[in-house]
Amino acid sequence: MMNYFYHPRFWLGTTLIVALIITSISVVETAYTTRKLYSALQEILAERSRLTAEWSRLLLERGAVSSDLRIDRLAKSSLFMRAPDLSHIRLMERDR
Amino acid sequence: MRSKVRKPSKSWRLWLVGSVIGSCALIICTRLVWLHVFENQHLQGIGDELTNRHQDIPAYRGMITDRFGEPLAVSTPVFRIGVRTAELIGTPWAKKLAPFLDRSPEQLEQRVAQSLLPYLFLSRNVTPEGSAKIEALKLEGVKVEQQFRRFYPAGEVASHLLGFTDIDDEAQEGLELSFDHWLSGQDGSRHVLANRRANVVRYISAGEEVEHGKDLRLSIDLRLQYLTYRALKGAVNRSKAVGGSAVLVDAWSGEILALAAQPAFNPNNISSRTPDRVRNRAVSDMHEPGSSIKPFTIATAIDLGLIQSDTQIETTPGQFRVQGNVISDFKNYGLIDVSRVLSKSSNVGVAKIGLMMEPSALRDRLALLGFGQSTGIGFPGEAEGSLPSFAAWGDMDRAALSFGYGLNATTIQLAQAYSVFANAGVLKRLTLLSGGATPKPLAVFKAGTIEQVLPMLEAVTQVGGTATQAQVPMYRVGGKTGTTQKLSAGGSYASRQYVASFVGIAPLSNPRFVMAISVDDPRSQRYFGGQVAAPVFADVMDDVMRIYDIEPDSPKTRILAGRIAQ
Repeated sequence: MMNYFYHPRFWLGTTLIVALIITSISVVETAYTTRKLYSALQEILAERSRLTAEWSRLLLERGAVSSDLRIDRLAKSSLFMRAPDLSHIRLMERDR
Repeated sequence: MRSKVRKPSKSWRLWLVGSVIGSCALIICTRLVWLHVFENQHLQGIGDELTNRHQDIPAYRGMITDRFGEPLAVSTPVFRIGVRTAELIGTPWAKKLAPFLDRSPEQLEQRVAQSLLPYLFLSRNVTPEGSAKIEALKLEGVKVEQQFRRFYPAGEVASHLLGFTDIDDEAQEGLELSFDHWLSGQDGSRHVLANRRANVVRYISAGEEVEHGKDLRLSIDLRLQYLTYRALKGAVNRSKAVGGSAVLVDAWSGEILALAAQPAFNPNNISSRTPDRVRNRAVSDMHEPGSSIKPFTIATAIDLGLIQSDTQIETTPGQFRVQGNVISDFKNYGLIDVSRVLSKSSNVGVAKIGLMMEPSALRDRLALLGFGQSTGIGFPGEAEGSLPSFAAWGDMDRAALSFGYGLNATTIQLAQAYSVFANAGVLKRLTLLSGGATPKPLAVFKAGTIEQVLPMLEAVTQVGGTATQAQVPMYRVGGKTGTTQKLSAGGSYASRQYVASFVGIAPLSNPRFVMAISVDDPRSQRYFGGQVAAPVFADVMDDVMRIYDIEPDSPKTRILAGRIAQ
């Protein structure tokens, strides 16, 4: 029995079998990791798309609230603001 | 010893076990082959149907913003509720769905009953919260689909500029259409494994990569766009005009800061989109520019060395006969210098200057200024205008061209042409994009010529000129009015239909901003360009000076307080 271990073909075969087992396990492992990561990526992308959607709605809301039309109207009607006329403007000369 | 081990056993038991295992394997193999080869398609179909899902990933349409990033057009997801009508029969769907769709169950049932379609949308505008609730109902035959809807926060203010998209978010008009390839994305897809409730269990593989649309940053300044819109709307309403348009340009960079037209529409509301309102008059309506061409006639003559700003022109008796046509002035101005010819807008004076030049000299300059050609801003439906060209120029053709008749131009072309006064005679092409690349600037007039014309343009806005209402407090401004009779459908001049226009520049000591305003068919007593269009310029330019922090340059400005240290 012992002399089998000394035959080079035995070691070659064993090495190949071990390598085969390792690679097949790593293939499975990689496939699993890929799916897990892809799944995580998709969840992040979905989250991003959800946040983008929310952001776009907030942008719109800000746009509506801060529209020049609205500010103009509010400034005039509730704050009674108006542009100063010429007699109320004082110009300062700039030191150069 | 080695050969002994390798020798197969001849025991019958081994054969028995071998054949049992072998036949089992054979049966399994046969079954495998059977399933894989003969029933493959059928089984695969059943399996895929149960678990394999192909999901679309909708692409965002890019955002349109102004030059500072203020949103002008934003796509946001909304949900639409679709129903497969055949699957609804006999289920209490309408009662359950009605609270979320703002309609009574009867209305919904009627809608479905009247429709002949197998699949129809009951609502296209459901919020994400509402759609989640509807999905939770798990109604048979009811499907919630995500889509994008475009919103325009600026509403009417920038309506013509942006255009709009249809209910499927496809570009229809305006910049939405001309930059569609940039704004629109490419939908993607992916394969997923789902359980029987259609919840995604596992993502299998990516299909097509989703490509979101790119954002577009315009040269528009939303603040000035609003001010321009407001001033133009006011002018059109006051003068009871049919329509109007205004374009504000930063002549140094060629960037269009504001572009407005009246009447406008609300891009968020489909029903307000009538063709008359949707048309962007600033780029697609052309009219004879009239007197606004006169500064170019004078500049060309000065450039050719034929006149100086103080050259005396005889306009007596206020009428001038050319080839049987009578060119007349508002009144007899007598012997006046070139500057007065412009500030009084004397047709006789300009016609005489026009006739001093080579027949096609003025026409060639106007062509260099971009008249009769598209401006290259890429707006859909842009009118090129027209510029006459004759093999043999008659005197009347030349005289008419010198005071702006016989050619057609859009408001935006006028604004572009006037940029030469702000760029020392160099024509800078316009762009609607922030920092947009424009073709190589083209020198049309000598810098010295422009130096002579600018004071004349200023005189137009001063006492004795036609556009005193264009004055901006504390600043020196210049410009030229135009009041042209409209051509009627028959080709003759309509007696009481005018286009009132004004093109102005500010501040005159260091010209930078150019604004062109046209008001179409003012019906009130006041229909002159100086009365109708010039106030729009003054109104907007006052704020432009303030917002862009331009130092007052009027010598009349009193400095009241002392000095401030910086």
